[in-house]
Amino acid sequence: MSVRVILLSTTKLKKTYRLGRVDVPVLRSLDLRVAQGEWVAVLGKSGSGKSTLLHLLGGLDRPDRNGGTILFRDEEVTGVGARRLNRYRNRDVGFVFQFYHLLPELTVLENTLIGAMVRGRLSTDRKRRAHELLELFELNDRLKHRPRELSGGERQRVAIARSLINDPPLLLADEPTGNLDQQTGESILDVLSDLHARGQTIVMVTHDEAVATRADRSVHLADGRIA
Amino acid sequence: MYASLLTRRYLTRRVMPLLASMAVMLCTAMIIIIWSVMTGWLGLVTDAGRTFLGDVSIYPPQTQGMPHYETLCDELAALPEIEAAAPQLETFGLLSFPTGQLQPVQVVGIDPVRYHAVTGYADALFWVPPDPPMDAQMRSLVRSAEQLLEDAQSSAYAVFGREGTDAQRTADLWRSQVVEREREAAEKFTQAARRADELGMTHDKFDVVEMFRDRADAAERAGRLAERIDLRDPPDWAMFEKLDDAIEEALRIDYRVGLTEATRRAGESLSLRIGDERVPAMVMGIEVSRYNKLQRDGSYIPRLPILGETVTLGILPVDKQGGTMTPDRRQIRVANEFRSQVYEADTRRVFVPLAWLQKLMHFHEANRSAADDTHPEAVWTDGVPRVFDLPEIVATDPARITTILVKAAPGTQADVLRDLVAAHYARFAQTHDEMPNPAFVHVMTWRQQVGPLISAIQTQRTLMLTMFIFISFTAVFLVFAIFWSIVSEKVKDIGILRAIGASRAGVAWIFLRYGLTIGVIGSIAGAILATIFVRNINELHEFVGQATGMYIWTAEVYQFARIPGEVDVVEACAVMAGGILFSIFGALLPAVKAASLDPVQALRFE
Repeated sequence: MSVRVILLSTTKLKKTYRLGRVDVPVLRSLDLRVAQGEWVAVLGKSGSGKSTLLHLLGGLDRPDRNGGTILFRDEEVTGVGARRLNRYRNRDVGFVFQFYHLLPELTVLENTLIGAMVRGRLSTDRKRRAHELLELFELNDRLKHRPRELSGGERQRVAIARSLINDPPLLLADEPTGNLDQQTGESILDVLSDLHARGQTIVMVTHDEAVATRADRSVHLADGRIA
Repeated sequence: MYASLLTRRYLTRRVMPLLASMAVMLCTAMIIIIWSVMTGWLGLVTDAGRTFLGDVSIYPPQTQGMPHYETLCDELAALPEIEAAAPQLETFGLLSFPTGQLQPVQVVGIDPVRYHAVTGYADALFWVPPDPPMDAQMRSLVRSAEQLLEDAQSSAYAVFGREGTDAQRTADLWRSQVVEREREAAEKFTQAARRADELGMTHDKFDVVEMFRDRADAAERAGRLAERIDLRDPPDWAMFEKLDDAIEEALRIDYRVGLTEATRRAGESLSLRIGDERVPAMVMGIEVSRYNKLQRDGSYIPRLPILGETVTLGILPVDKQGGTMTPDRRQIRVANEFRSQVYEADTRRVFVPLAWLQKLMHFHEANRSAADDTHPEAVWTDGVPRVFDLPEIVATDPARITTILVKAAPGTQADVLRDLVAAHYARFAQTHDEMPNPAFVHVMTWRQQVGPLISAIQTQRTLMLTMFIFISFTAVFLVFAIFWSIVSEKVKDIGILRAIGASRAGVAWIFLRYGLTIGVIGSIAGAILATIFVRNINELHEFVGQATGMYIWTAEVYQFARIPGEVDVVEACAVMAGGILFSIFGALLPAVKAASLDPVQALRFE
């Protein structure tokens, strides 16, 4: 029996949004553990808090005061300062969004490298890594193209390449196929499967059961908790 | 690094940054241009204001004047801190021109050589002689030609006016005294033209050789007309008028001819050669006579010839107690005009020889006789004057002046010189009789004298700069508006950057850097534009003036024909730094807004 290392865990995670004078709880005491190399799909209906969970896991948002903890490699993410959190988002986590969120003024290569640029001086290693990723995703003939010149699938592959430029241990994907047709969506899932096969830990949010089947396991989010 | 990349991309992919850069460029250029022109104008006024002042001036009480000035000037000039000192006598007078025009003037009596040593006066003389000036041979040729023409003209009038004379005798007289003289005059003018050509004589305002050829042609034409004219009774007056016009044309002492007599040698500037002697003459401000018309390019076209003309100067002498004496008037010829570009001087001032004016004002050296009752008034009896002894001369009143101008030696500050001159004067007054009390003598630097005018322009410059800097605040708001809209448009980009680890400061820096870049580009472009504009400002002014008929800068108003302006590197750098700062200020709030955006909200922004 193999021992799996927990890469990411949440304990009693709570997040409440305030809409006018009304507090709307989105996550209520959510506990989740993601092992190293695991691909976890988070399923749930629209408004169930899937994206909120992903933003909290990725350090884009913070839980409520006394709203639980998030541990990444046994280090707390929730209570750290802005500098540490920026570093966490840059080096430990990679984001893939439903709508790709590429920077329209930059080329494919520059979009891929932007995370490395945020990290610091662009090294030859990073440039080589960008080319490897783009070759892996069959985009090496699109290096100078801008996002508007690419198809949806190509854009999403660029977004995945961008998320992996700093070799983050954790990949967070928010409805990565949600804006694609089925065939293209499948190809993106193939890419993720391939990454997973190489040992990449993935937390993927989706509302599509079929998509979730590609993951190692699925968790259902309902009423702000894991059902 | 990503900030640099994004700044570059945001800059090159949008029209808005271009507009912002242009706003900064225009504001920068506008302020540099205004600053350069105003500073240039101030510099010109300051330099011009100094023209006839020297560095320090000594002003005794006007009515009393200052005796022993020659000694004082010599002593001052001998001081190591002083380069030269010159006496000056000032009064007011009324100038009467041959046209009947009267002009109140400030009359300044000077010793032109000493005055030039202090003020560089000869450099302001407007009409310049040809280079080289006429030599003796040429002068003789021109004089002979003019004399021949004048004689021919007199003879022509005499012959035409004669009644009932013998026709043959008149014809012979006509040929010898009119036709041949005119032909001879034409020949002499032709020789003068040839001589001018040989000498390589040039003039900055006209072609000397061509001028003498024109005069030769006119004399030749007069000769032809004289030959064809019908002398029978009744006289052909129409033909005679043509002949007279041709002689006048050849003879005309127009401004060009006058110029050949003008001199830039200070020592000769206040005299004219009449025959074989030099007579005292006047140099007047270029605008005094109103005979000259100022052109837009700053040159003057004489409407009437003034050089060589005789004008009458009337003054009202004042005695030592300030009482008026009998008004006096003298005729004097005009030798030249000057242009100092100081309005008051150019429109009001005339220079005359110091000794000439001293005599007119009773400021000259004069013998004082003892009061003697034994010498009764002269009595004329039967038309025969009674002879009696002259009164005994008991003293000599020294000649006096009203100002001493002092020029500092190189390296001596005017303020230091003023104190030095004042101290020297105080000592001098103690050892010389009749010197005005130092307490009533003003010793002033040139800056103190022109201070009010310079201050007025300085104030105007500050005012204009302040106004334009306020106007330039529009650039700040423009940059702000553009950046605000860019940040609003780039909310999603900001969310993405935050998601991949960019810090708030990093995001803010993108926009600050953006503002900085716009400021740098706009300011550099503005400085270049301003430099090109200032260097070609007169040509542009002329072009706009010709296209619209509207000339903003006129010599009549600003005293200077050309718009001054020299871009000062330090001033330009200061304005550029201001432009960059303004751009950063404009970008500051949008940058703060960008930095404070919630990344989740930003990513959800549609």
